[in-house]
Amino acid sequence: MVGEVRRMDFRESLEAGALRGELRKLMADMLPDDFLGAFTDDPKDFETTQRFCRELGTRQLIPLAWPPEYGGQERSPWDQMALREEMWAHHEPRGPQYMTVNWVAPALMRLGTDQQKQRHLPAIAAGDEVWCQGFSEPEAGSDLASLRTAAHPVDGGWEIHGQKVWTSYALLADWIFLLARTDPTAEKHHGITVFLIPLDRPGVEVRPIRAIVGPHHLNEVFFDGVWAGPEDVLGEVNDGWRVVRETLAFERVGIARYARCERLLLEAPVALGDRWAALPPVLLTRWATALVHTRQARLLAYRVIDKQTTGGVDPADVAAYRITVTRLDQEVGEVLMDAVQEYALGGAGDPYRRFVAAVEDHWRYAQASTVASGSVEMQRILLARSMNLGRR
Amino acid sequence: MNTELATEAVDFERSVRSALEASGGFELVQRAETEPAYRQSIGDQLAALGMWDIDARADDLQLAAAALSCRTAGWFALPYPLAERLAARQLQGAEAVAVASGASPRFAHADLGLDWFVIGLDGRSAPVVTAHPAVGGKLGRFVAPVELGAWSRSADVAPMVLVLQCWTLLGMLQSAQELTCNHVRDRHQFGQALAAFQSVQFALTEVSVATQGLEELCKYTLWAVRHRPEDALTDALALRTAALEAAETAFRTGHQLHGAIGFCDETPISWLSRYSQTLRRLPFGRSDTESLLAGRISRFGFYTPVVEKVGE
Repeated sequence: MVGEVRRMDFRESLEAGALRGELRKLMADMLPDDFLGAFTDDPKDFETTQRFCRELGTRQLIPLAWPPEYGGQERSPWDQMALREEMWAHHEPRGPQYMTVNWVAPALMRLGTDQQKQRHLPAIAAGDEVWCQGFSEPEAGSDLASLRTAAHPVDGGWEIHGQKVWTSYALLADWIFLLARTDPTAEKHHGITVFLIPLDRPGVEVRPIRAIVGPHHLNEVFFDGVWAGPEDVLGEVNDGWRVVRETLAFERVGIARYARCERLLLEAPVALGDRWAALPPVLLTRWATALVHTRQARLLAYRVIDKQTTGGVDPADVAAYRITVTRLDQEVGEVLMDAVQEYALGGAGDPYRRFVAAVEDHWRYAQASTVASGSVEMQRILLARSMNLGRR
Repeated sequence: MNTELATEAVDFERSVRSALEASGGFELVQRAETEPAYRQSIGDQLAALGMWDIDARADDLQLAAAALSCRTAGWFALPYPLAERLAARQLQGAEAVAVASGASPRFAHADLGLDWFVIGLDGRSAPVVTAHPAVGGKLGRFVAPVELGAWSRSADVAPMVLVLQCWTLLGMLQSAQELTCNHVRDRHQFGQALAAFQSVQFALTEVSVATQGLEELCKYTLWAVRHRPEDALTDALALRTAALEAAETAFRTGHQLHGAIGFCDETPISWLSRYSQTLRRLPFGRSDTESLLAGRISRFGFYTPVVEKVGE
């Protein structure tokens, strides 16, 4: 704006503050005291998140940032940040819905046909439709473009064969955002197409993988002659790589891991009481330092959001943030496990049960933070390129 | 919310950097080491740039100009107590302030003939009545012991001087990072630039992550000392914690990747590394800083929008 002078200001807007207040009240009313998210062995936890999502849906809080024509409020990126922080700090009561909101829906808005938008966006906004991401394969992890799942042309469409792996929430999801190779003769990054496939379509099989991170985080998804029609394609055929690049750009800062770290760190002295007071001073300094790191991670996220509002996000800024926040997750896991020590191993007689369960859950999930959504090594490579080191 | 510093302040920093470059850049510290009185003329050069007209407490713009000037001073390891002078405006009768404790503390440039005051973390201050000659150690060339007058309650400027010193350190680290990146691009071994080795790239990304995280925290804390004064000391100690941690990463990597040439006085990284020591060890080092911070957070909490403040 002409004549406008921007001054550095870290105050949160009144709107964002009010949103936090509304969300906290809602969570206090709807979530059990020992809630640790949707991804547990107890199916009631997923049901809780579904109820919570529907309530958010009635308040138009799921499509917070969406344009009004899709039922959204077009709220600012800072309000979205406040929402993300509150949700993640309180064990993401939206369940797997966060991923759908963060990038599946924006991708549909940008590239979907009218029919696809009409089919999916109202259902997502109401909290009724859950998606999973069909990207990684046994031979295509960080090198995603090596994927082999193939869609062969058949009369009127395609027949899909192949396997996806590490697919989070596939057992809970209704749809998969699937990458498949449609032109085997094309170069690696070409000949890939995005398909939107319902998981109850014949030929799709989901198998859970038991893992340290807990249930629902990792699954295999098999495609055995799954049919797809032209109406299932998102964007152009063979242009899937560009779709994915643009799509993931919506997810800039991803989940606000630092928010849960901060909440757990600040809860520790209260939750552990006398035990906290008896901890060795060296652990207190690690705790204080971890709090400094949470603040740094938050500020690196805010830098990205700020540049998003002015249109100049640098992928290197995102990489620096992701390296910081994923490491923070693991640092906080170690500090807090050191504080709760043997109680994290389970067993009877734990006077700090609720907090210890949260710490144990955090530590297990944090093991994946430097691997999931682009490994920390990939982030370093991106950052090194931006620093003009090695090849461009 | 706006995380960017005012463009006017950034422009001012650019002009300060140009002026210091024109005056010799790293040659300033090299000359002052052999000719300590040369530091006075550095003060005169800063005066000519309008530096002593800045009132860091007056408004956000002047505060940003002060911080960015300190960063540029750090970039060249400028042998002058810029942060300490800019923070002193708030204290009646003081030309420069240093955080210190004890009856006979010591700090850098105490011998410079300024009206120094020593500041405690408890909001008290004491005038320096006698400044002894600098001790002249390899890592503390301009550190000088002082004798103090009586302590009294005064304006609480400790957070401000700690924060501006962290901005100076930030400049040193960013300068060290750039020097190291330039070196690994230029230096070839085994038929390729050092920068082509992934182990070298990854080491430098560690430095970049550390300095980027520090820069954002510097910006936030600068804003916070003015707008959230109730937490100023905790925030300043948090910043110092991050700065000292980042300094270890940046200088260790800088020395390692420069190889033997980086230890030599002909390379600026050697000067930066040595002159960072006074900022890193005084008024207290990393462990003491972390310990002080842990005590403050335990008593007074740590601000975040996610959790209601806990503590006393």
